[in-house]
Amino acid sequence: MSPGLLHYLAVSGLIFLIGLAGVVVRRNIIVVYMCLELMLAAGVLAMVVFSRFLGQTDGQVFVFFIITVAAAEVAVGLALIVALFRARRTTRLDELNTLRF
Amino acid sequence: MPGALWWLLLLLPIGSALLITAVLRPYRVASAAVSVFSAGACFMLAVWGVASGAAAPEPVAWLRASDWVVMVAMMLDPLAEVMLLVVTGVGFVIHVFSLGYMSDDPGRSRFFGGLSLFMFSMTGIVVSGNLVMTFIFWELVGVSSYLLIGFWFERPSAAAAANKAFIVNRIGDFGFLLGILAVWGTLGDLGFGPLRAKIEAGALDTAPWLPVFLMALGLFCGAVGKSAQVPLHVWLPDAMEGPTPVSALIHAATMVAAGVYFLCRVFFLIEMSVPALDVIAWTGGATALVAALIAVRQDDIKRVLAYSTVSQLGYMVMAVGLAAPAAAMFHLCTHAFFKALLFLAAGSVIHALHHQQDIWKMGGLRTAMPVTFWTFAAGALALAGCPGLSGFFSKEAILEAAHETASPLLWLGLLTAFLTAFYMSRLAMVAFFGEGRERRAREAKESPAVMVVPLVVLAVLSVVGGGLGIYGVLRGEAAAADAEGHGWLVPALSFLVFAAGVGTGAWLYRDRERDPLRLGALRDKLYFDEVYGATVVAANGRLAQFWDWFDHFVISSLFVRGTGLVAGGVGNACRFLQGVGASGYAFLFAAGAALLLLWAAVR
Amino acid sequence: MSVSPLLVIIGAPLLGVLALLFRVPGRLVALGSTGLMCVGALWAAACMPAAGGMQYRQGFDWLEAGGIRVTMGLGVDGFSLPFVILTCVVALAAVLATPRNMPRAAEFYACLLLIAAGAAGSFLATDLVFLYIFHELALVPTFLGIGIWGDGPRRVFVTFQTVVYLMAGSMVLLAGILGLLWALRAASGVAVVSTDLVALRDLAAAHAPGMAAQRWVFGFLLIGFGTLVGLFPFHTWAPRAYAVAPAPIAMLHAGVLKKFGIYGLIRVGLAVLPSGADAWREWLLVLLLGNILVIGWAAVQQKQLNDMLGYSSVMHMGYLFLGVAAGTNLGLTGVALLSVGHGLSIAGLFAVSGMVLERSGTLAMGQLGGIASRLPTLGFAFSVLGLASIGLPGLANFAGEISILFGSWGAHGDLSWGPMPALSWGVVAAAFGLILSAVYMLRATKAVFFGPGGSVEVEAGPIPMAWRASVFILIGCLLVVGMAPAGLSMAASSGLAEWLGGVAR
Repeated sequence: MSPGLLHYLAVSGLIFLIGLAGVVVRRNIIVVYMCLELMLAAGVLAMVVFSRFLGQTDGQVFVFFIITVAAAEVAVGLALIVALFRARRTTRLDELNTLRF
Repeated sequence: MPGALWWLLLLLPIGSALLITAVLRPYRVASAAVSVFSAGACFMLAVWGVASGAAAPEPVAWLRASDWVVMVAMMLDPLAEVMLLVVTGVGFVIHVFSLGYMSDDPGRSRFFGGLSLFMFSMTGIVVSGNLVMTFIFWELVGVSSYLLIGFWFERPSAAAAANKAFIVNRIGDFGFLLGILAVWGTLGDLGFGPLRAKIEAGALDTAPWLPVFLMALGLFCGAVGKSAQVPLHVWLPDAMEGPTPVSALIHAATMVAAGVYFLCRVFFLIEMSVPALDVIAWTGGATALVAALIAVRQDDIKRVLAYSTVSQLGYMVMAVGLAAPAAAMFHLCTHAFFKALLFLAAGSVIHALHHQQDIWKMGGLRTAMPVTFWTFAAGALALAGCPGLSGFFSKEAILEAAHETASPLLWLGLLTAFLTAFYMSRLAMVAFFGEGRERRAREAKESPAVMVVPLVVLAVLSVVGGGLGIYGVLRGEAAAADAEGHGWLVPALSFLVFAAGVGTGAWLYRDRERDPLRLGALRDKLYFDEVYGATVVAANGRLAQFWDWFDHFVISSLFVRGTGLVAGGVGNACRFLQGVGASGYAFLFAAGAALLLLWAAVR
Repeated sequence: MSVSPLLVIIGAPLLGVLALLFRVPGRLVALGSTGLMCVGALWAAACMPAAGGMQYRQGFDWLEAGGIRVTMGLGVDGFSLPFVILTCVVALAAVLATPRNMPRAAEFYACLLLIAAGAAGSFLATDLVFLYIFHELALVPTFLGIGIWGDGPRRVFVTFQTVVYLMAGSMVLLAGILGLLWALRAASGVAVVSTDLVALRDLAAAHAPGMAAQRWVFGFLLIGFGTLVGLFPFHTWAPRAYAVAPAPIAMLHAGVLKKFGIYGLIRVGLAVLPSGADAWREWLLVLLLGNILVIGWAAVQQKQLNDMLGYSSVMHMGYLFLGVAAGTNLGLTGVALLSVGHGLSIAGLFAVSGMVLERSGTLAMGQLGGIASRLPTLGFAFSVLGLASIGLPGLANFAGEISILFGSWGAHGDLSWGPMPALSWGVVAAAFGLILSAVYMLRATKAVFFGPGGSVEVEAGPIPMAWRASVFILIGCLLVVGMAPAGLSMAASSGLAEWLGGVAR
């Protein structure tokens, strides 16, 4: 038996949940960030699967955009994290609360 | 004289005051010259105008809104003309005297500026043709009095006296203003002429007694303040902190008499209320007696004269209350002459003694300052009511009025007359007779001519003032109020109390070094200041404290800051919903999304 | 669009602000602009016809949305003319009174000019929305002025409080304005309501909103405008703000900007919602007695000169509200006159207190004393201005006060002998307030200027000419208006008669 749509979606959902759990639970901002990327990847997987099963290329086109944007985002995000680390000497999320009132 | 020239009476002094204040401040001689010139010119104008019987000029609108107009209008009847001559005449003489008295004061420009402002305001009251204009100039004399009492403002006592004078007068003016409003509200007019016409036409005939009484009483309040009647007399003795010419001009001869003048001016209105007349008569009588009593035991030469002024003003007010305004005005005129004279003579003494005012430090000035002494004696005798001098006639006119109405005030008046003769002879005995008690008194010299000549002029007026026919002029106007007929009883009685008073004084104070009478309560001015301090002033302070507290802690803290705190508190409460951090937000977001999904799936 | 005096009055300060963006000498620009404003005001006053409502009207449609058409329009009538003249004169005096060594001078002058432009605009605007906008335009630089150049440890807090308070007042006012437009549209049924004041007035005259609507909307307007003026009990920002603000800002705000509330209440409230005003009369009477008596007594208790001046300013607002409560032509004319008198005198008083602070470093009345013998100019100026503010005849305030008292007393020629109406009792209390004002003003004069020297050293050097000019301009105007108030009073009276028509009693 070849894997069906539901199998793929289950994997995608699992990855998404793992990412979400990481974002919510972890305190290190880099790990949080990577978990965010994981959630993005889950989304990409779902797109590709739908594209394959529906026989349309729209999803794959979206994926290209997502990958591009994600790359740019990683560049900006990591740069911000580095700058933040330089300024505050920490990457722990619960210590970065200056803007909380 | 063309009627329009009357305006110069007002324009000259105010021009002089403005010129001195704006331009001539640094030039002391020029300031004095301008001021004295304007006073002299006003006197000449007044004489010329009265002699030629010039008509009052066309009124000018001063303030106008829709149909409500305040006019600057002149009313020149015999009453105003007599007062005008007195004010400008005495004013001019005192201006001249001031040239000598203030010759060494660095603030002379300011002094003469103040005098000019005063002449402007006082003339304004005299010629005023309506109530608001009177009120305007009324306030203006108040402020010039304030400025001149506080002339030596570096002295705390002078600054305090100036404030006291202004504030006490404001209390009187409170009633005055309400009285004016009441008159306007009920009669619908402000001019004296139209008001009189309306009242004579019977506008108040059907009125209940209370509103008319209150109206008259309101107007009387102004006079109580300005003419220093009990219970608002306390400012006048303190006003002696001002330079002596100011005391002579403002606080003896003219301004304080403005209240009496005003009462005569609106007599047609006041007489509509018999109870008001009674109140006025008894207030005057009480003032006359209380002030005379206090004067008996004062040691400062100016304070004796100040209480004597209050007492004489009480006499005049009593005369108005006895429905004898002509007698009141007559006494006002003679009083202006001899009281200005007494103050100027006192000023001459004070000037010669380098600002020594305690009569127990004086003595023997009779020989050192003969002209001052003789003029002072003339004034004192006139005030005491020596037969033949001006004061006798005017005082007798008032007592006659009391006699005619068979009022017990006659006896009160006679008692006051006795006290007057007594304290004046005491003052003369202690200050001028015997030996000099201090070096300054022994070395005193006669004052320069510029001060002595005014004394002589006023002395002549004090002696002959009773026979100038002033009373006739005034009675001509108020003939209805004064009936003819002189008995022998009142003149005899007033001669008797005069002789008794002078005799007692001379006998008691001959060659004394200390006051033989104790009378502590009189020395302490019957504790008026203390009682006011404990009641009115203290209550005002308490109220101020309370409302300041109320403003700060109830309104500002409780309501305003309270509102802010409540808003802040609500915000704080909401903050707990928000403050969970980025991971928390992500969790809530995810949970929310999941719930949405669930909701969509279930649906 | 032709050049009218009104354009000069508003344009001069705005151009001045623009010029200040470039590196130009700030004082010169500010003096030039405010001088031009005065010229414009004189021009407007000189060429104004005696009657005929709004003059020099010009403008254009600005916005039409949501059933409202907003017109950017300018105009002046006899009633607003006194306020406009006041604005221009006080603006010039405030610039002159600014010390030469002011830090960040260009920004400071820009603030002054913006306040002046906003105030002038709010008195000149013929459109309800712009009336509001111009006032807000003036408020912002006021806040900046207090916050940046203010003095004292409570500067930040006071600025914060003032901002919140006045903004809250403005919001209530905005609600009132919106409510007014809504009520008018509901009452008249027209599709598009023009916010032009004349149109609004005529619309309201033709289709008066119902009693409930009038009562509600006037209530909002009263509290909104009232807060801006310092109507008791919405006044607590005022003394505190003035105690902290630098002298020129205090001069402009207490002297001019504050009068906007009273002006607006008459221009909008009384004209458009006469029945609402009637309904609120008794309440207003109670509140204004709070102004006169409560604040009058509180002023007696103040220990700092500036606090006392602030309280006295709030107290005198009670007299303005008395005129509004009366609503008679005479009373409202008195409001215009007293606004001018009070604006000139309080501005001068703040200028003097600023100079006292500069020379002695304190305003505590217990420590000061005898300044009149060290600096006679200050003593003279304060005495005259203080006497003006307590209603000395011959200076402008008296004419206003007496008109208000007479205008509020009641119908003349009334021989009905009934019980005294409530307003007359208000007049009694107001007349009593005259005693209180004498008490606090003369006490302060005595404490600060008379007597021997106080415990602090006073620097006795010569007073700058510019400062003298500032104060003497104010005193001169007080004298001119006080000696001959008929011109201004008749302008105000006829303007009001035309504007309020049959509304005023």
